[in-house]
Amino acid sequence: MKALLLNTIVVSMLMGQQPFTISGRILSAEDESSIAGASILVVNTTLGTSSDAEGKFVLKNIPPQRKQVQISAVGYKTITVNISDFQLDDVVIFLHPSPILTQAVVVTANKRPQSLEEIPVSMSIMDAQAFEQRNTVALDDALRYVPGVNFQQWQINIRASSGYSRGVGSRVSMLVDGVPLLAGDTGEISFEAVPVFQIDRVEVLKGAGSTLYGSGALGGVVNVLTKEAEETPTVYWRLFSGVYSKPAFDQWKWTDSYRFFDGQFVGFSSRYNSLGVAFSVNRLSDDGYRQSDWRKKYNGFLKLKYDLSPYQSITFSSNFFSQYRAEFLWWKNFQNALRPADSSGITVTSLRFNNSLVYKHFVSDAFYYDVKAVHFRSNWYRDAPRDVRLDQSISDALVVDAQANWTLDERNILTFGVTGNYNRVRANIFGIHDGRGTAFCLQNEFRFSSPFTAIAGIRHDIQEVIGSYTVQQTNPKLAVRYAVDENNTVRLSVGRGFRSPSIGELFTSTANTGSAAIVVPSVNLKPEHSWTYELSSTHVLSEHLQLDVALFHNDFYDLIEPHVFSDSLVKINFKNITQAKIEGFEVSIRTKMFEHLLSCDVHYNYNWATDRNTGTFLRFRPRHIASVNASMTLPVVTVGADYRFISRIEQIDEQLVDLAPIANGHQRVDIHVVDARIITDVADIGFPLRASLNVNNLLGYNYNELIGNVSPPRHFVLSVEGVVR
Amino acid sequence: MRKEVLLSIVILLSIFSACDQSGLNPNEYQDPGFSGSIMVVGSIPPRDSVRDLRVVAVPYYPVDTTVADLIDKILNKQVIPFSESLSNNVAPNTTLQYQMFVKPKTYYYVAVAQLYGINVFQDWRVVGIYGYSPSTPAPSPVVVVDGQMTKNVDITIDFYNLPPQPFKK
Repeated sequence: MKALLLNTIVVSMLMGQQPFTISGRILSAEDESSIAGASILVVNTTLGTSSDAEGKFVLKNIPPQRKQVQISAVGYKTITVNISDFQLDDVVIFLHPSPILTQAVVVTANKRPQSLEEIPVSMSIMDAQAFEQRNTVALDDALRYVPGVNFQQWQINIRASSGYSRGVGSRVSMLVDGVPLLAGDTGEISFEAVPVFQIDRVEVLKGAGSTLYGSGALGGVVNVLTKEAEETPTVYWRLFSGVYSKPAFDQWKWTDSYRFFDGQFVGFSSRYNSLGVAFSVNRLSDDGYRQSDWRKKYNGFLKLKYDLSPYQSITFSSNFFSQYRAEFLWWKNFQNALRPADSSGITVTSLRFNNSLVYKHFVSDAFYYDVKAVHFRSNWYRDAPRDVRLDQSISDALVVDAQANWTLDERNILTFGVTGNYNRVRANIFGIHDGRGTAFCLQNEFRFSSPFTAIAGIRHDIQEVIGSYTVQQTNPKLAVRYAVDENNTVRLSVGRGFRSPSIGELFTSTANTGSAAIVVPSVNLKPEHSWTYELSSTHVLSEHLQLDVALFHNDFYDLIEPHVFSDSLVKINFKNITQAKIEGFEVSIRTKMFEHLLSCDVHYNYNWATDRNTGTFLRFRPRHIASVNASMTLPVVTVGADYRFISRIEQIDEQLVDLAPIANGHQRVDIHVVDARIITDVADIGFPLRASLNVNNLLGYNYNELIGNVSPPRHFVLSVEGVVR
Repeated sequence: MRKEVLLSIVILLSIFSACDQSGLNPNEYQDPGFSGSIMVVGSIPPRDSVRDLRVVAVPYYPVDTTVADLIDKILNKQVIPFSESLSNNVAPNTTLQYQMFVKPKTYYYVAVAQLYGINVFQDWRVVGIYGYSPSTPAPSPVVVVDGQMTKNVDITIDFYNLPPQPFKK
């Protein structure tokens, strides 16, 4: 790999002892093209910004004693610039492209910013460009291309950890800007509530993460990082509209009309002295390609960041989400796969909002801390026609988290913190319950020598449903990283994860709701826990080629699964019934060819997921997951295509098929999906406009991620977006 | 650069070959079930003691059960499917063809049952089991996959050399 190039720097004038300003452009060292979205941070302060579409940036109020600025961008080598005692004006900084993503700065692995190549565990990231190019309107659409990740409809599964849990409990923890976003009642992830248009990047941590993130981080962590405010007033807008192809088979036709979807987004971002402001609203309307599968959703987002000083900031974020949709549980039968089994016209309304407050303080170069508080309200209800309310749940989740990072000396970085949470649930099917919890974590990063680092950590959690249920868990972690040379790195990690049963799993009761399946409470559940072992390595094989390999082994204990039993009636409860072993490997090859015009990433993940009790393959887990992502950037035009393959789910829940019942519920196939896109960006020739055409499921392949649910057919999306400054 | 180009070609070929799949297709769908032949060995009892003859598919091993239990599961809980009556076509040393449409699952015990008396809730006995022979006395499972007809589930019956009966006395 070429050494990084840093062709700076025009120095304008000597600095005094006053706060000063840096401004300039970030360019690619290879072709001098602008790098948009590069992160520019003043080391050991809260000050930072990102480059605009022309690569320009401005950083104000830098304290005179600050010596370094770190610049990073996905696909480029991260560099740290010594700014010495000079003010820099119109500085030009060249970043050298890399075939690899390892140069990105991430925060999820150890709760502090560090280069992806420094961390001792497996992590994938998706940047804003990946979301924009795919015209992503829901977070889960984009996460389907993260190596080792697949979905059962809306339920995420990292390296086969999750399966399908019928809407309660998630074995993956979800964070937005580092604060958790799991529903207080079911413990579910609400992907649709994430403000997709404000995403700066998403970090996906694979394997147990409970040492830092507590309950739920059994199989991994998804952390969504939102964008920072622009330096100058900037308005963003995007309009898109799409149409689904007609059904592939005459039997599946249920309407003669085409089905459309459309969306609008507008956002504003600016910095006013010490205050950064970003807000946006967006709307989505979808007719649905299936009968009774329409939805309308609205989303509002506000982020205010105020720099109290160069070393202190306070950030307030608010996100509102409203969705009204028809309920499509599963098909009528295979010959009527786009009609619902239940056509009684049930609708589901969701109202969710979360507010968070984050205070960050750099006390010194060696010590900083932050305090986060978040409140997440989830309110949903199911209604039958004529205003007959079937189910309703209102839950509040309050989390307060304080965490500090202390660089003890050149060899030790200590991270420690305390977390408290309070959940309040009011629901007809879950009952009335309050829960609370406390956790303490401690972690140290040892830098024994230049190529060798190790991390040891531990967290103790106490979780309680007041008056009925208390659990305590201690989760340790040990990870080491050894840089063999500049191009080869080896990592080894061991960690424990756990998941406390959700209030939904403990107390769901449908005895009085008229449901066909009677679910009874399961108050004696134990928490699930897991041990994750991973050996991984990164090899830069040439300037154009990088190989990542990971071997993993997970042991899961006391997995909670639905259990069917019968007295006078058939009933369902939740039980700790499964011990499981999931092992496998993951290989990623990343290339950039033809002077970096063409990038191509190939990922393959093999999972061997067995139920230790029965010896059978675990339910709802795929054995093979593969994807290929290719993109070619030409003047004005970018073309790209993604292919993903998921092998046929080997084992499903036979009781679910029999009891629901899901007619022809065994019908499932391998998944082959190709999404293609062409994007034209005319900003360089004077118009602040970008237009794209996406053709998703280009081959019109008919498949289902979840039994009884055909996935979307080929659909076309035309999108236009612009930036006004 | 040559290996990157070679890698790209391999990837593209792999995708194109992998994409040559039909996916879900209701036109290729067949109601699930199993079919086969019933070979009658030797002579048959008088007609009034072969009042009914049916293939039954039990999704578990019916060890140490009673006829009444099985009848209850057939009639009331519908977990044990059975074929149309074969008694009118049975004859010495003949082979009958049969077909059953059942839920896709594994049937561990597929047998031919004879109603030999007038009590339809009690007077049944097993005269043939799929996979059974005196030298291999264990029944063979029949796996039925959704959308497919499992073929060649052939059963030999001998009214005068009965296989082991699962029923309690």
